[in-house]
Amino acid sequence: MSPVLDQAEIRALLPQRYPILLVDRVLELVTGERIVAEKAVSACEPCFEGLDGTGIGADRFAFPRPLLIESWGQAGGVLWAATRAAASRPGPEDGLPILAILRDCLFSREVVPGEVVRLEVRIDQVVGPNVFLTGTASVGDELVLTMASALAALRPPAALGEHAT
Amino acid sequence: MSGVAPVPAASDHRVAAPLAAVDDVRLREDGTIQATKRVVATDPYLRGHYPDFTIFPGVFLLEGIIQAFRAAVAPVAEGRLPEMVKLNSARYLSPFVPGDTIVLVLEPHAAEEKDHTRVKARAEKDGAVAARFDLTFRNAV
Repeated sequence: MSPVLDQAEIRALLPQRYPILLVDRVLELVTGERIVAEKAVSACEPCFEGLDGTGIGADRFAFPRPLLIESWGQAGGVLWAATRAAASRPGPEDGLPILAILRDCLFSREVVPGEVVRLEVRIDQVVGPNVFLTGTASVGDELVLTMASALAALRPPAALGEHAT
Repeated sequence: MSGVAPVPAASDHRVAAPLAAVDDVRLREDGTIQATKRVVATDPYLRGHYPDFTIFPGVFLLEGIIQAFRAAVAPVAEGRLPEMVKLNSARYLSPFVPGDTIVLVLEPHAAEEKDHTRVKARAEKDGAVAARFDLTFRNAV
């Protein structure tokens, strides 16, 4: 399936960059409603650096679950930025998207190098600079995680400690 | 600090991790776990978050909780490590930036499910709560 947003278009919408840009391509996008994106997990990612396989099992090479949450959240970030752009609102420069609240995120499967994670995010509600998201991540027909609710907020960089570099 | 036992570094666990998310971990006599992490701009992944200025990704606080819990309860685990199977809630109040020191305080309790542990945790900055978490771990096997 050809992407509806390629990597160049994703980078126009997301402020995150290598090596923490965790959305590879977007397969479906309905602004204001939902997104389907993909993240391919590779053994080259920094989280696997320095890990020797001797004496450990494949489970030690599971993609870290916090990064799965980040990847899912970034898919939501693309959806939200595309939604704001479609509404002729300013783009990413109107603030950085920050995860504020997560609720009931259930993990049901590990993801290992070579697998492609399908990220599905739906907008529940937009309230000013806040968006409520829900959705899943999966590999093939197996669920990886279910996120009952995530609240993301746009924050101006100055409010986040811009002096720090 | 009296009545605490330092535990081995999280890197001893030989498991995929985005960064060393805790600098030290201590198990206290009352069963709580305390860990600290000084945020530095050269930490792995941080140069992309974001290019113009750096914020410690909120999910890395979760990684710190996972590493602290593993270090405290399964310091020499050979088999399956404790794993976060559910994030019941996370609430972020203020971000961490380079130069900040994160203090993580974990309070483990027996979970309703067999062989699971519920962990309520908070991240503190300068003595104030910066984030709160409620996780469920599947215990080491």
